[in-house]
Amino acid sequence: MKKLTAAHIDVLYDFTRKHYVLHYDLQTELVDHLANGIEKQWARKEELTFENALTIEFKKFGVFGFTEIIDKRQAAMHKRYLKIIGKHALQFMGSLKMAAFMLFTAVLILFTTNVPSGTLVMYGLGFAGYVASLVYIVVNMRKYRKKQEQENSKRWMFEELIVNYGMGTGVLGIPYYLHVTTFNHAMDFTAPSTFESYFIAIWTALTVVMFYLVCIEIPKMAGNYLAAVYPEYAVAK
Amino acid sequence: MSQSPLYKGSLITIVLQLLQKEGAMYGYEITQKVQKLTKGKLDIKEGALYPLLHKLEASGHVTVFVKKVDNRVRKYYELTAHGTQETATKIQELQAYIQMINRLVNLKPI
Repeated sequence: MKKLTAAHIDVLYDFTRKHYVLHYDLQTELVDHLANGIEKQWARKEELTFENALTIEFKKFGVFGFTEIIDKRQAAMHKRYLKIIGKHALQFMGSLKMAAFMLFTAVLILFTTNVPSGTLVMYGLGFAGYVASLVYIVVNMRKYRKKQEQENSKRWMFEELIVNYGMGTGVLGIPYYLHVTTFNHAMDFTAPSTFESYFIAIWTALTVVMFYLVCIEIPKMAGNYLAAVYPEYAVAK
Repeated sequence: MSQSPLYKGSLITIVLQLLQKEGAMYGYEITQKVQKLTKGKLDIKEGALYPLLHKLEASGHVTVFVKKVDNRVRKYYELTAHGTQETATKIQELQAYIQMINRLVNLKPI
């Protein structure tokens, strides 16, 4: 039976890339699928050209091609990543770090409730820290992408999620955003209520923990997670 | 038959049951096996199969491993213990649904 050569497989990888499958993990699966389909066609009709057989196989993916598969793969990976964040958060709560977090929160609450203009200062510090963390994440992402391009490395969806998902900490900036926009007059931190003082202290502490988990702890373990998510990672590297 | 919306809700059950009966399988193999078992009447679309397999992988119902075959890497899906439980649940649900529809269509008293 006529089989695909290594050169054909390279063409198939290029084909998937041209159809917006940018990550090696998904490319590999689709390449094998297309290759199987082409070989099956050759088993029936050996004179069929590689290009024609590929066109026939690709048509089976429907009018949207690989688009739906890519989107749903990303959604499934996000779900998996959120589970990892949840696991780390649970571990954090059960560790000594939790005691440090509670102590840190208590110090912030003491600061916002006892120091004159403490809430306003905490708001300013928290917001500055939040912006700095976003800058840190964006710089990290750019470094990662530059390195990828220079080394022409294979792209892994889950790896990019770990590097990029630090942007998820952006959600924690919502109170600051709301304060600046919607609640500008409702939450005036120059004359804060007890609720506002507690709220801003606790939220700042949570932002720090979230940043620590998403941007420091999880990326440190990226290799382990990638090996668990991708059995092909070891084969490809 | 493959165009029928009837099979869409049953796809997960079909795939899980197949993995339970056949053991580890790869995507293309699943499409071919279904075609063979249904004598070509049911054609699982690639655009539906792979998102489902990835969803099952993310939820821990299946686990994956790879093998180098010829010049390429092949990804196999295999049921986990959690997936085996889910298969039993899905089959029960599907059987109950078929019975209910059967009663409705045949207008037999429930």
